[in-house]
Amino acid sequence: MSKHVATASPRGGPVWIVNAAVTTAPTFAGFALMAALVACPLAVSAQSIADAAPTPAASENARDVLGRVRQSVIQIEGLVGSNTARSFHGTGFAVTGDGLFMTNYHVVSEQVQHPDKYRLRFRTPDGASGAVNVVAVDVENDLAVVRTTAHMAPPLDLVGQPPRKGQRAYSVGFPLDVGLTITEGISNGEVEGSFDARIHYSGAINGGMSGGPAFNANGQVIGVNVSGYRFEQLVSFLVPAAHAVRLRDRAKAATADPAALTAEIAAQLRAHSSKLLGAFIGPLVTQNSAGYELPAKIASFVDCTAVGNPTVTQIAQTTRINCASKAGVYLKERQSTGDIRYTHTVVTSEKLGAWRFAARLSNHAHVISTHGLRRDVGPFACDGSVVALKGFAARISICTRSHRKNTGLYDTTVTVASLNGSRQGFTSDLTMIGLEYEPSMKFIQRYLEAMEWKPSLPKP
Amino acid sequence: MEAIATQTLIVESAGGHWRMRDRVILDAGKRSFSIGRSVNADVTLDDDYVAALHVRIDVLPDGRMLASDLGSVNGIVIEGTRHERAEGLPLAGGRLQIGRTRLRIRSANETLAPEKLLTRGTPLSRISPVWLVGGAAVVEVAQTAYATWLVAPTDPAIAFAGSVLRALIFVAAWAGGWALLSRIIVGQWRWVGHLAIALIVAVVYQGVSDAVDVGWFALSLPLLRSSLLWVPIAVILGVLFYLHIRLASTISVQRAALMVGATIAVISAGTVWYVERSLARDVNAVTGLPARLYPDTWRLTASQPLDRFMRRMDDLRGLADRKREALSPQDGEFEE
Repeated sequence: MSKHVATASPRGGPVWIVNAAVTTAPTFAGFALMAALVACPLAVSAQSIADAAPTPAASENARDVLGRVRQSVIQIEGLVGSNTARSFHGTGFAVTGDGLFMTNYHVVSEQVQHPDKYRLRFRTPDGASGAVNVVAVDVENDLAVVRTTAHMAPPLDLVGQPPRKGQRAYSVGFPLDVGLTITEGISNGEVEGSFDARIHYSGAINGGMSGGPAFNANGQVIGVNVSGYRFEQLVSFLVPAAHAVRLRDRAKAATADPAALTAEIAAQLRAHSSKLLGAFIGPLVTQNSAGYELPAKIASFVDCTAVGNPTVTQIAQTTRINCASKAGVYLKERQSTGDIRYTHTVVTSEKLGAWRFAARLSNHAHVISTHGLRRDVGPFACDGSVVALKGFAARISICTRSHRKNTGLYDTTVTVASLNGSRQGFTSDLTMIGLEYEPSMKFIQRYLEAMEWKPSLPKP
Repeated sequence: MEAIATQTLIVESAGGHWRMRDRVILDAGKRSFSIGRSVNADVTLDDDYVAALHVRIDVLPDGRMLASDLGSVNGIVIEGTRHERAEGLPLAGGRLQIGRTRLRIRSANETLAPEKLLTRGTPLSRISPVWLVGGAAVVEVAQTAYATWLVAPTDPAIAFAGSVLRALIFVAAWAGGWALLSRIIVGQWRWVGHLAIALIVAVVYQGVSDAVDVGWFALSLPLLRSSLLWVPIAVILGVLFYLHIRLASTISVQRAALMVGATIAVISAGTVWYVERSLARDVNAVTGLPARLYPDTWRLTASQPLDRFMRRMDDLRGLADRKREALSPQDGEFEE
């Protein structure tokens, strides 16, 4: 659950917890406003958790935690042009005593991407306010550090060790527009099958709390509020504090320079690309479907689901296998990058015959485009041919487009249609978003080499 | 010319394209006569826009005819020009219009131009258009049956009936439009001919494009530029328009070819330019979709080894970069 690309998730997916009044895309947290604001007292008490470590009596109380950290938490607001009405807002907390505050990258991303359009300011729980500037970002882990000279606050203590499952935890922030709030929940440790480490927090995180700190019972920061599922109950995510420690140390020497930030983001995305594509080591795991070996769950952070109509009374049977890496990096509204997903559509038929079977398969063999904006990417360039794969021939089309701001990154789609046989066939669409070109092509070659015609022995 | 003065005169009323509708034969030797709505006129017209006594025609000994207005309100129209209170107005070719009636005054011994030659036409045009329409319709139905069979719908009967019905309505509307134009221009509907043209061209186009589709697959030809897909459509439209215009008018071969050619060329150039420009700026369009798949036994070319295919991708990156660079910095700046 590292990166939550809601658009790629079949259920609508988790949302980032920034409150963006201008947000129109349904994926982000402007819509969290619609979530019911229900004060939900947690039924789980400290005593009921068998393996919870005994904690100091004075810290068991959410009021105590809030009282201790109140001075260190700020609200961060984005304003468009010279307007005083805000466009988006989130939460931040002091990480040094001289004006550095940690928040989420997605809270400040619009300002980082359009520095001439937006400005940022902070607001303390006591009503003081002033300007802040972004000095460092970690887009892969959705973190950013802002600096202000107008507000010095006691820094919060970041703990590098991830919390254990079942420990009491608290999350602090400015949800929606109801003022400084603390929620109480349980830390469920690191999320399984996640490309980037995330902590699963079973507690409420609502829009506007993004970038706020999450504490253990001792009042130490264990993570940074980042996202949650909109239509599920209390499934929320934190960025582990260890990433915040690294960014804080890097930010101490940094100054606010929009051009340097842009270059830094592009470099981080390229690094993410290398990390993602480097994570597929060894031959790709395949599964056999109607005689074809096709790439399946090729890494622990890739999720695959299958749908289909196996009814033999149909004139043709279609099974679809969808796989997604969930490694995408949120870059800005409606653009996330650094992700891989693929779909295999397997068709079998006893009734159609060669000519009609090929026509039926054609319907699935269209090159799939991914949505992009002209300010972010260039047009697609395509090439295609009939290629000999292992044991069968396939028509393959490859289309790629080049990113405009983040130079060196490409969106690539591959469409494969099998040509052998008149009773079975498949099409496969591979989509790679925001990755480096050469490693992408190497991955595509491995993806195609993994495909094989390997029919099982005839049934007795 | 002396003879004409003694010849019998005939007054004809005419419809569209000056085709004769009705005629009055005047008494032999009559050289001057009146036309009007009244029974007192020598030639009586049933036209509310004509005066009781509207015009008097005098035929001179040399054969010239002069019209004089007898005090009508609407006057006399000769070759499209209206003359009021005219006196001794010469008629061109014996033609005039009063009220809403076209008249032609002819002499019994007029000299006629030789008959026009009928065009011999192509072997195809010597077959009866009814046969052509019937034959093309049979092929059209067969093609529809093939298309329905190919996609194997759940209910083939209704899909087939729907396709045939759509084709029928479209062809009927198309041919009907041209028939109406023929009726206006040459005064004949010629709907069988237009129907034959529409059906034959549609059938040939469908047959050729199906064959090209199979050929494209058989030869594993590269992806096509989307804008070029307009070219065969432009050619087929050009052929259609040429044939229909020739049938619907008396326009010469050269003029028809020039007119249609120029129109299609301008529209094609505009469309190709528009599509190319749109595609150059459309970052989501996947251009040149591959053609339909066919059984692999129909493929005539060998498959490429994967390594060789992947090596081609080095060029693809350069192409994508050039397409990106072709966008202006402002492109998409205001896109939401």
